[in-house]
Amino acid sequence: MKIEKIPEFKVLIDESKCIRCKICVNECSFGALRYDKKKNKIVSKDWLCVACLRCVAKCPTGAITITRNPISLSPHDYWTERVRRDIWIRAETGSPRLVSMGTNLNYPSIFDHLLLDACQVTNPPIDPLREPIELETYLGDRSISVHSEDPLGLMIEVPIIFGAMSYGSISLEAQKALAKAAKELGTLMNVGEGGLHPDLYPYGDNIIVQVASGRFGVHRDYLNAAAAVEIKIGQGAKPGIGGHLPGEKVTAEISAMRMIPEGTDALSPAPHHDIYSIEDLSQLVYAIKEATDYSKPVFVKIAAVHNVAYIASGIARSGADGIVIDGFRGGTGAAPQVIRDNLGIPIEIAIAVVDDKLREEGLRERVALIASGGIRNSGDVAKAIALGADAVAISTAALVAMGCTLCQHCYTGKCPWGIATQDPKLRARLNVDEAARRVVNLVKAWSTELKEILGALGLSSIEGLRGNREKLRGIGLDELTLKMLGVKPAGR
Amino acid sequence: MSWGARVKPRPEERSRVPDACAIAAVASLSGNLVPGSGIVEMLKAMGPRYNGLGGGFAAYDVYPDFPDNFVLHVMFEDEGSRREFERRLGEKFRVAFSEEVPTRSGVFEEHPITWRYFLGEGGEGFEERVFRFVMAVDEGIDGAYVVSSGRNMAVFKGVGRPDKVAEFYKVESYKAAMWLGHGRYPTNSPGWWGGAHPFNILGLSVVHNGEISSYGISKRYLASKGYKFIFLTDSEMLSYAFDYLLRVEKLSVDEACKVLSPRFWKEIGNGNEFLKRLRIRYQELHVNGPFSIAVGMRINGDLYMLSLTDRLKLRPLVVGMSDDLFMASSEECGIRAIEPNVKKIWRPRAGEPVLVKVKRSEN
Amino acid sequence: MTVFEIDCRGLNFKAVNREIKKAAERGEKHLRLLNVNGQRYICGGLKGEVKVEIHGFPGNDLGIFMDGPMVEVYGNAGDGVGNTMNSGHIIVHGDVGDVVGYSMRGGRIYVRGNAGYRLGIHLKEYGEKKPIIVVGGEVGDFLGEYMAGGVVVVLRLESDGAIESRFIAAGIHGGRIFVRGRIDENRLGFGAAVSDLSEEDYGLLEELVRDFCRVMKCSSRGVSSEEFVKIIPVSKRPFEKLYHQTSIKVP
Repeated sequence: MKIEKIPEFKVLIDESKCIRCKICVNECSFGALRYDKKKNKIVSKDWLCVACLRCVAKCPTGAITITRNPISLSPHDYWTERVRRDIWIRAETGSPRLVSMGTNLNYPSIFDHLLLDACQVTNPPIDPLREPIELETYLGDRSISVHSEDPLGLMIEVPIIFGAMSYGSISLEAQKALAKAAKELGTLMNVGEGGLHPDLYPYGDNIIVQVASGRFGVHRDYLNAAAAVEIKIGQGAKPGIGGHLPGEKVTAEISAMRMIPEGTDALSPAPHHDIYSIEDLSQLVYAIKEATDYSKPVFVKIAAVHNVAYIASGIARSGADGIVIDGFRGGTGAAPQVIRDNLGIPIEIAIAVVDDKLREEGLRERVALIASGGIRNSGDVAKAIALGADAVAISTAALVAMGCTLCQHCYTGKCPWGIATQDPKLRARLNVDEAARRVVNLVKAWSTELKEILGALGLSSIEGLRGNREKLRGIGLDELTLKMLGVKPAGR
Repeated sequence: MSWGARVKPRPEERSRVPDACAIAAVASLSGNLVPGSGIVEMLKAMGPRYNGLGGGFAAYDVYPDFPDNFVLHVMFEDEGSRREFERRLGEKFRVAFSEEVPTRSGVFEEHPITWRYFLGEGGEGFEERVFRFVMAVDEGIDGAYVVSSGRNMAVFKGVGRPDKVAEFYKVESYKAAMWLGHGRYPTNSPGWWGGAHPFNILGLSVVHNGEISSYGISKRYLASKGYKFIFLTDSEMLSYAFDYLLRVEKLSVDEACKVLSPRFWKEIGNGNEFLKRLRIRYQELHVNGPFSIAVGMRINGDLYMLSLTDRLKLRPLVVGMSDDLFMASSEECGIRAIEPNVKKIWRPRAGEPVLVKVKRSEN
Repeated sequence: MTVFEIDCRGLNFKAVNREIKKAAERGEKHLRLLNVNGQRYICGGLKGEVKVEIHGFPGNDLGIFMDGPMVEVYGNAGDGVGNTMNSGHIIVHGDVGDVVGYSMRGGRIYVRGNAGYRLGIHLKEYGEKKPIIVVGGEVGDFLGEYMAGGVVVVLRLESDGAIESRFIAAGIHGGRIFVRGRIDENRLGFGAAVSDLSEEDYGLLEELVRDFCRVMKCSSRGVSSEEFVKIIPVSKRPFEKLYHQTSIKVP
């Protein structure tokens, strides 16, 4: 056995519980389980196991346990097991490693070093059970005069939208579930850059369509079918590099959506070839506005990078109605590991400096700010909004709500939960209605939690939290970081 | 030389102080001049609402000899600050008349000196010039603070019970068409004289009761529009918010109230496009959290008195009307203290502005 | 048939396009834009069968997202002609700028003169929809970069000898490029290869050259299908081996 195949996980099957039903064998899309007729038992190829836990969830008798492989490499806190494995894989293949989901490295989380305030005596908390608390959120240009008749942007009922995930990176079923959920919640989902499937057109009022560098599936009717159009410049997981949907995922249906021949790689180059500079961005923003008769807000999505404040300021001057900023923890269907793990900056800092810069330049009211990339719970939502975001976009959390266990193997196209796959057999595993119900539930629960937070802060609407950094205190953050966040240390 | 009392915090000393209060306001609807003793009586009736760490008054149409002059009331910690202020003032404006604001000795052991400067000009763009000058002084001269800057009006305030502050400034000796009064209950005692209410900018003065939960974002918004925050109090922010909406954005008083205390989205619905636009455009100035306020203002020469509560009605407000007087107060006893048989008395609904116009006084 | 004229002097792009849309919605079938100079997005997102003559210099993104119209420019045009165009026809009697036909999905662009850099980048193709670009003169570098489908023809009517463009068809993974004249292999980009022409190629080229010369009122004499070099993708998946797909392969 080659050294890189030393299994990371171990499949343990309790012989006394196993009834040899072979359900686990069929459920494992990675081929890690096999029924051995001679021995009349399930045997595992542990090096193929990705710890997705599909077999564990489906085993009728609870006979399966997945553990970390207890075989331990000689300990070394610098040359960790991960480091050594990464080298072995490259040594064997000569290629960069492709990975999925947001970075799994242990970078410090700023969200986890921020605490929210609460009312005590000097002002009263508001009780969300009895009193109205509003989460309605406006996304768009707010600088237009109140007496103007220019169209307004979009009102959404919760400050949470679903981030861009293309048909190709996720299944049509997963996209449908998000569209249904967005409609029920009165919010938006984003179809990413893979075109808009005919089944999703009825959900147009709740959909953001994307114009990315590959321009897949982009045409006049596509732009006009949606509530808003997003120009994708970058993505937190892979800033500065293009997208790459491997040919094996370009099925007949996906090729039709993307308007490329079946089986070819769908390549999104790193830049838009009509945007080599900031004034070119403005050209594309207005091209889209012309094609949609100025009836749709145009958002621009960028990855949070070092100069994000200046970049955002340039975008706000380009005529765009919103900026989506994706932090370095943002997820991906597939990205080169070295890019995902080393590029970009945290969303918390990015939102703070962008909000500051836009206010300093008098541009904040021209654009909505949407924060994404690592929003895990309603506490993160509240903190992102207090730092200055109008709303957040969630993607990984929505997939986890559908049943994703974050095995981080989306790039293989073998998602056993029917989410990040185009295999018809696997796709059939995702029940659209059930997945939509769970996503709706997640956002409803978070909304209730947000109202509880607002109530504790004595606020009857989310506007009072937006950019209100008085409501945040930092713990364990250095002085410069606190200054950049515009947040005082706890106790002050 | 320093006189011992502080007028304002230095930048490194600035911090937010929660406070609670009694507010009171009285205006003559016909523009008659009423003596300052009334507003003092109103506040005295609400003694338990303040703790002696701040009191103050605003008076409109108070200088009959200078009816059209902008007048700056400026507190000084020391003689050096006054000299620096007067040097800068002389560079920017012609002063028609100036004098030290008379005070009674023996009321406070330590106190700053207040001067008033009647500016001898006016006309197009003058308000904006005064505004910029006030901001520059507040931010730029350590021992000076402009407590009021409107036309024919004054603010008297200090650290102490409102009746003591009144005694100190001889408030009973002034007559005005419109008065605001305030008794403060801060949680601690920073001791800056400028931090007492009312807060004023140009013709606009605010007394406030409550703590504004959305203060942080409103402050950031107004700071980006050029407003300087020295005291980090809600009333300072509210005076700027009104000034911005009325003077800069040219909204009507009613529209400004709908910005500060908006209807709920469900009430706005899809029908009222204007209310929707108003709420979206100025979302940072949606004043969230408990407040009741009385605001005195001069718009295009006319005096107005406004009272308003937050949209959840988390702070008290009572208003009363007699033949010539309009009164607003935190508690009914304030009104009864000066008009025991007030004709009409009511509690305005949440977020519903009560606005009265003071007839232009003929004298 | 009547021609509806729009004088574009002093109008900004918003106004020009509003006039065009209004006229098209009214049922005008033939528009003539006069005194155009620099207005962007002309016919952007315009749908339907309408002929639009442009006299003057149209700004960038001429015909972006366009779906059906026939646009004829009597002069030069800027960058981004036919950007993400869906169907229709753009004829330019002069030169065009960079990034012409970016991600174009269908329809045709004919350019009588020279074209700039990145012509036909990311050209698409699906089913019946096959975008075609024909250039009468020379083209800049990165011709047909990232091409995923469709046909690009470079006639070089005024030139002899080898083409000077560099990095031709870098990243190409679909479609065909025909260049008249010689081509040095070192001018090709990653993933591109020279190939022999098929019978179908000859037929297509003859049809395109005839149609181009008819539209441009030029002579096709001296242009022989034999003179063309064909450039094709080496693979539908030029970057297949770039990344290591699965960390663990079944032994």
